[in-house]
Amino acid sequence: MAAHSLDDLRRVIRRIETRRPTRPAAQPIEEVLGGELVDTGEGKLLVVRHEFPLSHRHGRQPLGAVLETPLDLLSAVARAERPVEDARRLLFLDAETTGLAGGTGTYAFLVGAAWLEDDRLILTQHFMRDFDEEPALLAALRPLLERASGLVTFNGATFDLPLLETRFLMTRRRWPATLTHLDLLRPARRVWTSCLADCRLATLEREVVGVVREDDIAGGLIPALYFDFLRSRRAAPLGRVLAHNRDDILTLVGLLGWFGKALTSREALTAGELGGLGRLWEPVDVERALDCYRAALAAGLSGAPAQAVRLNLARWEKRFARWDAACSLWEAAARDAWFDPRPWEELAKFHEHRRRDFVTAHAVVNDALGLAEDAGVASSVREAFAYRRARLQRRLLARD
Amino acid sequence: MALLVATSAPLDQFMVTHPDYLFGTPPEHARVNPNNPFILVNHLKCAAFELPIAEAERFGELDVRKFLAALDDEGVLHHAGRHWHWAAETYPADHTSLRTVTTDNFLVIDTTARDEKQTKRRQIIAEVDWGSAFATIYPKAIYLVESEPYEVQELHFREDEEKVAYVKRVAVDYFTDAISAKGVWILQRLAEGPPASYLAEQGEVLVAEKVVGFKKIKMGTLENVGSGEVELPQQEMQTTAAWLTVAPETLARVSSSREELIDGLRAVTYLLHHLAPIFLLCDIRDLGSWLGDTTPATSGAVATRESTKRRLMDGAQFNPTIYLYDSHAGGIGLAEHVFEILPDLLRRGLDTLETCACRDGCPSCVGPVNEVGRKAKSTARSLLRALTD
Repeated sequence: MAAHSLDDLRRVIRRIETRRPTRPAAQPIEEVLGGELVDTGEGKLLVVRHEFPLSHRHGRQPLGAVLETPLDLLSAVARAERPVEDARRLLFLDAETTGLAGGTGTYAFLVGAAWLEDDRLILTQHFMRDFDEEPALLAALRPLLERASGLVTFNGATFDLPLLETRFLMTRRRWPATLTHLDLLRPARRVWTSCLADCRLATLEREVVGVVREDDIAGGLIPALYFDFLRSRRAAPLGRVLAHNRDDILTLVGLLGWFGKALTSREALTAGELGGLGRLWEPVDVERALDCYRAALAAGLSGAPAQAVRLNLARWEKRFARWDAACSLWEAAARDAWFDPRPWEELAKFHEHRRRDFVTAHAVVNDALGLAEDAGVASSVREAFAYRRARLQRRLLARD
Repeated sequence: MALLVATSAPLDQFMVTHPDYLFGTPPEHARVNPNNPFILVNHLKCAAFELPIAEAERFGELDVRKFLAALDDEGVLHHAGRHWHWAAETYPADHTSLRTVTTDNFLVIDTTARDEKQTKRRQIIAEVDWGSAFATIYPKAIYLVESEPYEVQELHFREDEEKVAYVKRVAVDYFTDAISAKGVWILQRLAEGPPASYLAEQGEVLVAEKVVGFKKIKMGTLENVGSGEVELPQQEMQTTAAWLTVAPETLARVSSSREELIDGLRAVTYLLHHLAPIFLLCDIRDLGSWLGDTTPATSGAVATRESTKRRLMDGAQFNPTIYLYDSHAGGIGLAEHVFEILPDLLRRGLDTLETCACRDGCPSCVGPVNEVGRKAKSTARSLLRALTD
């Protein structure tokens, strides 16, 4: 509140006492946004329904790719608490809210949900025209949630679902807590962190799913548009919010399809994605992860991601005592344009302790020290190499 | 076991000379005024965020519908389905301080350190609330953080600016004390005390304050070693106050010299201000005091102590008034309490003054002699006797 003195406050109060703002009669929202008013038994709300054939392409793949996704595998790599099962009983969910901070004063004013039915994807958007329609909105969601066996969201684990759960709680409703949940943000982070600028849904949609949105509204502006609507009752600007929500859900479906394809066949993946896929597999199936890493390097992965993949792969090869493979990776990593002490150190340890070849080990450390000085790395790194070299020199002398 | 080492402050001196007070009164009397409009509005915002407020709901005894409608008008709340709902993106508790009424804080940023590229490294070392900023972090002020002196280089206070003070570490042996000009004007009388040798009233006042300069005071010896001028805007605040106007005949009985009376009343003001916190269980800075009069002067024109004294001495009428006001905008209930306990406060004041061992006044009773004048203590004694008759 901008009032800084008692007078300001009194002025505002006086203004209101004399004039209750009357709401201008506006064109009915269902005419502006499409959809229809549905009576849920707990009040009315606006429901906008879309249907898409499974052959509909949102990006490079048809929506139907979802049906081929190995959900058990994806659940495992996405670290879902329990595996989601039947793709036909999945509910794709995305909420638009009155604030991004969360908390009990944040409402989900628009909840979009999608599921497969026969050869179609049904997408319904539930919109409350005012705060008092929240019970109707939640009542409309309940049968959808009850019918589903699992939920798919993007960042739902920390945002959408806790928020919806709070909304159910605040209106004295039980949240169907038994639903399994697959939050695609988690596997997305594993796959794309190192090869994309960020892991926002919009970025993935453009780079991975292959959709370029026209005239999309920035997520941060959405709450303000809703508040504007509450005051002005002009619904037209909300059209973009509904489109945004609809596209987000379609992208969610597309992303699930992408994961399904990537987990079953590595065709058509970029080198960066192969590396990311390796990270996805790593906690579940190491050998498949290592295959992905090797494929990523073979596909010409370069730069910092390649270096990270080499070192990670070498770590596993070392653990499995596949020394030749490990050494060639370290040697490749040591040739990287940027001096990195880690492969040099591994090579030195390998030659000194495993092969007991002090001459080669000494040569490796010498080279590393030379490069370290040129690169101007931290003195602690140089000291570690110098210490190692001194020990090797002692061992060489002792042997002579 | 707890030990209290008493300083020369009247509060501490009162405690050690009247230990029965410490052990004889019930503890705690924490004060917050939930009806202070500023506090109330913030509470309502936070409440609405947690749960929509129903039309029929009251806030304690208070009907808050007007406030809720005002917040609706401001776009913070939205009325739907017989409830007011939170309708903003922000989290209101983030902007509500439990410690201050208003929330505009100044960041104090240390710019002493520079990195290799010689660009200033900025480190936030303190936060100062709006109310005390002008008196503590004016340009050239020495601001102490963990007993290290920092000199204020710039103070950004304009409305469109981020509120910051840039400071720099310095090695100095003095600290600074702001000199401010002040004014208190009665806006609304809300209560009046029973007829006595003085008129006690309580109500709303406008307090204006402007920092016009500062004194440099040497650490250790507390010598005045210099001064400076400051150009800062006047700060105004509406708050609640209790005030006391001494009847002309009472004044006439004490002294015929206006100057002596003014010095004596200043001494009484000092004493009451420093003693009141003990009854209110507040900090001394939660209260402000001022010796002015009830003659409606040009509202908003502030004056220093000296010019106020001159005005009082030369005025056609002479009705000096002691104001004790709440330093928090809107008031947090301190002034109402001062008004209630005023007779008791005057008695305690007389008591403190008479038990003080000094001859002509000291910081423990009526204030240092060189500030209040040589005859102030005896005049104050006569005044307090007359006021407590």
